[in-house]
Amino acid sequence: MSAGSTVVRERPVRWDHPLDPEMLHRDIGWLLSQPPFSELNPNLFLSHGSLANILRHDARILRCEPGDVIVREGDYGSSAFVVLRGSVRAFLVSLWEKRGRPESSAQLGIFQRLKQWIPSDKTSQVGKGLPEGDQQVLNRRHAGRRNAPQSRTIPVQQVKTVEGRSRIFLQDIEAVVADFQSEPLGPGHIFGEMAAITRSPHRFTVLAETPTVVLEIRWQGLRILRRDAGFKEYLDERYRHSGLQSHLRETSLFRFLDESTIEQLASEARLESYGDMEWFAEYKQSASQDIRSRIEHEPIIAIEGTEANDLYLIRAGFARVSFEHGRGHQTVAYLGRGQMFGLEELAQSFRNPNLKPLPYQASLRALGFVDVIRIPRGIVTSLLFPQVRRSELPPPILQPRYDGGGRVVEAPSPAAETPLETSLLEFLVDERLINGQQTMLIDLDRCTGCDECIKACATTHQGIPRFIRNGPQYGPLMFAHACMHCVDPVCMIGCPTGAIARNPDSGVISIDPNTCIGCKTCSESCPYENIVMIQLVDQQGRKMVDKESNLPILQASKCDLCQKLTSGPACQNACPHQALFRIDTSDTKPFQVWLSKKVA
Amino acid sequence: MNRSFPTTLGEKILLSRSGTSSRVLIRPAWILMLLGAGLLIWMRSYWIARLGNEAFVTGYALLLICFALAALGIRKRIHAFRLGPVAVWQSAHHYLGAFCLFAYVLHAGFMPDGWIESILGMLFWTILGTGFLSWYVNRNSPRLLRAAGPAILRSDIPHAKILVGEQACQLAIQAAGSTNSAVIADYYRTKLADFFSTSRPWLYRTFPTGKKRRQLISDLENLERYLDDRGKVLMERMSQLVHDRDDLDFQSAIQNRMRFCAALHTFLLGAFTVFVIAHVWLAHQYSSHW
Repeated sequence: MSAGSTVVRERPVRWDHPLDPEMLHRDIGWLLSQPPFSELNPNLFLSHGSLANILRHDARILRCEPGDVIVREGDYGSSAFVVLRGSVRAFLVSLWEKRGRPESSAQLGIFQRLKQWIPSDKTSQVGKGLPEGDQQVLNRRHAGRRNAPQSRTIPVQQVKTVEGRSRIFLQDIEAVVADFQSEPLGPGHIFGEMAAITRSPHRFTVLAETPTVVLEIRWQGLRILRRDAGFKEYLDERYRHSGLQSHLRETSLFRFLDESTIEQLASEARLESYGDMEWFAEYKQSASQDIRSRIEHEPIIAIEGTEANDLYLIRAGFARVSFEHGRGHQTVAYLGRGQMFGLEELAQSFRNPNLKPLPYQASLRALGFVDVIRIPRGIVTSLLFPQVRRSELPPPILQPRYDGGGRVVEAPSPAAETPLETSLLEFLVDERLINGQQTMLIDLDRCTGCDECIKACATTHQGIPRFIRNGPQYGPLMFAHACMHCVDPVCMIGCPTGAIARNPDSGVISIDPNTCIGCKTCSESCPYENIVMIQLVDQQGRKMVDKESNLPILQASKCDLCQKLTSGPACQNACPHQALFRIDTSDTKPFQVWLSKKVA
Repeated sequence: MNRSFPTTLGEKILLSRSGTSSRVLIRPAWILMLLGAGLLIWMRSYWIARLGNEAFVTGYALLLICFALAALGIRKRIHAFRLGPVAVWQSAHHYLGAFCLFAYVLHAGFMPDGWIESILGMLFWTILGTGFLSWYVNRNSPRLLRAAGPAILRSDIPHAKILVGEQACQLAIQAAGSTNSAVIADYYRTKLADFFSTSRPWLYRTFPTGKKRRQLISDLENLERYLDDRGKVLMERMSQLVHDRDDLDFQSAIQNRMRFCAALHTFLLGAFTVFVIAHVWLAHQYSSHW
């Protein structure tokens, strides 16, 4: 039915698209009789109808054959899984050494596609050609794997179609289980919830060992289930403990450590969280405050000048390293996942055990939400440093800002040693651009404002550009309002239908137009205003309005990095002046490289 | 994702073209141009040696180059295929443009005889001129735009001008309320109202300068001796608004000039193509031999 230049239709609502439309009533009844659902308080979910309603719409039952991959390391998680029947294996070590994620065929060039057809014996080349020391390291890493590491299997991923959906499976599951250290998980066990809650990649692979039935719960449903205090406490406890060892193993400095040392480190380490997971609301409120008061309000993790008793390892989120400068605090660096704080000070103590330990030379503050692993000094100096190469230890602090006697007045400013200008660092931190992995950067020294980028974007997306060629500026650098495909995509929090999701292969965050109900949650959550609501139109260009309220039907719109194009982002390719780039601002190195090229 | 920077070939080319390594890519382009010139001269000599009409060799070479030059416009409209960054195509367009000059002189000299050839010749030189002008304007505009305040979208400029004008009007009304700052309101009425509400003359839009802004701000500063403290504050705010409006006019003029050059270049190229087709047809009709 149409009315003038508008089209009337029913507004899409939550649960219009259940995760499994074919979920049976008897399945729900059976699920409710199984733990952990049988232990939940059903009265807590009445606002969503009932617990059964949540399971009907946000969960689905998967039936897996032995070897089927349920969770794959490196893929971004959006669901948790509960084993209902059978047994699965969680692999504690990486099945694919430095494999990265396999490229999708759309990303491969013609020569790479041809190369796929040429037989390769690369699998037998692991460790070959490496220096003797590195081969030993590789062998020590394989010590966690059972049987002979020399002849271990490299698991080959294959794809099959089950119930119309592609599923990855590994052949010869017995050999894989024999070669790699794994842990069996039986009925009632939950896995994958950590990646789903923290919007991060999975750290391990889970395979079906026997014919298995698992329940997949998308994180929107999981979030509602967390209303049950007992269930929440159980998940939080698992979140705090289960990922620790795998995270330590991933840390570059710890790669020489044997399994027993890792276990000991994990048992002594403490997992601490600072700030609020839903940090964006507070950030938006404090955006108008001056930088001094904003820094002072940031939760402090370690204070400069105090005794360096711990090594801090950032597990998730970002932290600001700053030091007192006059009456304020000057930013020296920002630390992201996998980076450490306090290492220089502890290494100094390790090198000079007879001298009084150096205090922290700078302060560490949480930017939004930060998860840190805190390892006590005694463990670091007695277990970690003796097993680390001397060359990998940080250089000694020759002119400390603080020593055993307190503040050293003549000490040089640490800012002199920072790779990026302090003001640029502070700009990146204050605008929270450090969250971006694909930040759109426009070099105003080259940009003529020709709008070819906008035209290309509009042409690729049915006439509606997905970004605004404007945004925060720092000198000649403009950080345009385009989705940055963040490390911590807060826009995904609260999407009631799961329409906004991260692509497990490319890491790109995109919105599924079929499931978006236009509730504006993502648009209002995005701290960078990079998601806009557009009014839906039909093929004739007529605006769509709701049948009941007669209000326009909206849909969230954001940059999807032109995933459908094999040539990559259209805007970037269309810029005739080499002014528009995508850059990873979550790390200073790519930025540094780009700036040095620009200045040269 | 963990995508390192840069990853695609296009990005690598673009990066290698910036900074110190730019010579690495420029050298092969110049070498290719020299090789192309050598090949064209050899083909022309070869054609003369076999008693052919050498104008056909150079003419068709020129035609091919013109088609290759026009390909940039087509590339800009195609986004679905992996055709490489437009920046690389544009760079190739610039080199081919320079090579085209050589091919043209070899084909027709500087200005040919005959009315259709003369029109073609004039069009060619005009296209070359507008192309060079576009290149120069594109090269200099970012610097000029950056000097004129924060970047603003061209589509937002008219609205921003209205906002600045309204603020100036409000300020003038505010100033009129006090005897000691009424001179600002008088000055607004006599000089600034027009400045804030009307478009700049075509001469400014072609060659924008800061002359008018300097004159208005200087006049405002001369009013200082008539003002009390509050009036001085209002005067400073009015000066800032004059500055803002001038920046907007400047940005608008620069961006429009750039677009005009590009549009003129493209339009003339279309006309040139029509005449070239006519020229090729006539050449085949009336030439005694190839």
